[in-house]
Amino acid sequence: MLNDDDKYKALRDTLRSVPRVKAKSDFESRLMARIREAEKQPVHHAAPVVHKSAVVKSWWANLFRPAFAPALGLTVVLLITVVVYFAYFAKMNDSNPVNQQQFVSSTNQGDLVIYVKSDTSNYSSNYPREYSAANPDENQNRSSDFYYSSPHEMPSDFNARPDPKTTPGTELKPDRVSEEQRFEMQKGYEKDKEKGVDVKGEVKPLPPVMKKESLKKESKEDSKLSDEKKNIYFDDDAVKQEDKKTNAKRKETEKVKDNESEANDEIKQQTKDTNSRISRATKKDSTKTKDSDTEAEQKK
Amino acid sequence: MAPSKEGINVKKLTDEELIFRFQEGDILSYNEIVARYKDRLTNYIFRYVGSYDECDDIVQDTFVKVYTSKHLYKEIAKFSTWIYTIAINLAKTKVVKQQKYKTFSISNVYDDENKDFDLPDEAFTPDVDANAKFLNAHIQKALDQINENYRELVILRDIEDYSYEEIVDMTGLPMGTVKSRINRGREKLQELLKDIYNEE
Repeated sequence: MLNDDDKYKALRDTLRSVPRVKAKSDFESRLMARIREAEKQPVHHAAPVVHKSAVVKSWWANLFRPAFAPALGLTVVLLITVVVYFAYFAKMNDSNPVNQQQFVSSTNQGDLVIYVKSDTSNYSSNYPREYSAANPDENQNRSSDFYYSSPHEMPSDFNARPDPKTTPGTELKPDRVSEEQRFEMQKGYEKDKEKGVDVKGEVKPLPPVMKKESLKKESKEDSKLSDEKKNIYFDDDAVKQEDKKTNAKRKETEKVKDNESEANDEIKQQTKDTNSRISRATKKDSTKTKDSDTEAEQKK
Repeated sequence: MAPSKEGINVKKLTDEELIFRFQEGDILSYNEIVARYKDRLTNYIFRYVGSYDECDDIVQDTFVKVYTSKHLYKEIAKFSTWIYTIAINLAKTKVVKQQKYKTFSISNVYDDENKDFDLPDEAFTPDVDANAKFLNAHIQKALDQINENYRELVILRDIEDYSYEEIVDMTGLPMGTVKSRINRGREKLQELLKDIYNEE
């Protein structure tokens, strides 16, 4: 930097050569006067001002201050969306549980055969080999319970038998078939079998029936499927007992219906009798009044 | 200045010793500080502001501030640095106020040759002739034309003859900034004072 000073040496010399300005002769006296004035002036010690805003407000008041209005609005909207999502969309998602996969129906020569899963561990044993929707080979390999091939893999030859690998099993929701219908179907199946109608499919003892209530429970408690499921299904003896009970109930209901129909007939007859009596009486009254009118006219 | 009550000659004391004595209540030390710095500060502020009356006010304010705020000085920096910093800060605030409430001067209408200058006739030594007066006015005009940031540093370095380190302490700027600003100010001044060099 000394080089820079040398570079501007001429300029520096000229600046130094400039005569120095001195203070006025009465500088000190004027300064003393100013100092005295400054000492005379009362020193204002600013009292600590307590700002009202500095007072700590309650957290509730701070929460609802105008600055937080947009944030509060957003949180409310978010809460509403979350509630709506869990209230509606969660229900919609419940319609896809594994329960739907437990009922598989297949049509063969006009007969509806319904197979109900009895055990989650071995699905393939429940279905006839020809129409089993579940591929046992894949079932072994896959971790998931069921495997349905996608619909776009359907063959072009529609006369051919449906390929169990490609055709998804026609599923029926549990609500569609009531227990009574199922019994009727089973009876029909047995009758056909006795008649010698060719009912294709593996002849097996009828699978255990699942209760509706148990199905609903199962849909809600998917997580508890593993061990508890086995206990949900009834044994064959229990099914037979239920059959007996339902038959007895039917008989009772038929009897009650017969009694009711008889009672209704009696009531109908009674009402008919009373109506006929009333009509006769009214006819008599009308004839009487007509006679009295004619008599009065004659008197006149 | 008479010696203090304790018999100490205040003229032999350093600036820092004087201010410490003044902090303890010795008014003679304060008088000695005023005697030492009144001309130096007047020259410095006059070169910076360009008006003698304003310069006088600023220097007076500086000493009043030293008197009232004596307890604020601590032996971190030199006393000269502290008092120069006070003076330049007051000058800057004054300049800013002037720029804010700028008044129209009728002298600006005329050509440069007819312009009048604030020449502190009273302050100059009696042996200054007319030529020196003209040179002084010309240099002052050139100083007024350069940027304030450059002017402050050029005055401190080339007129007051402070070292770069002292200037860094006074201004609080980095060394590089100080040097570059001084060089730029010098370049600008050299351009403005071409006529003087040609005549010489």
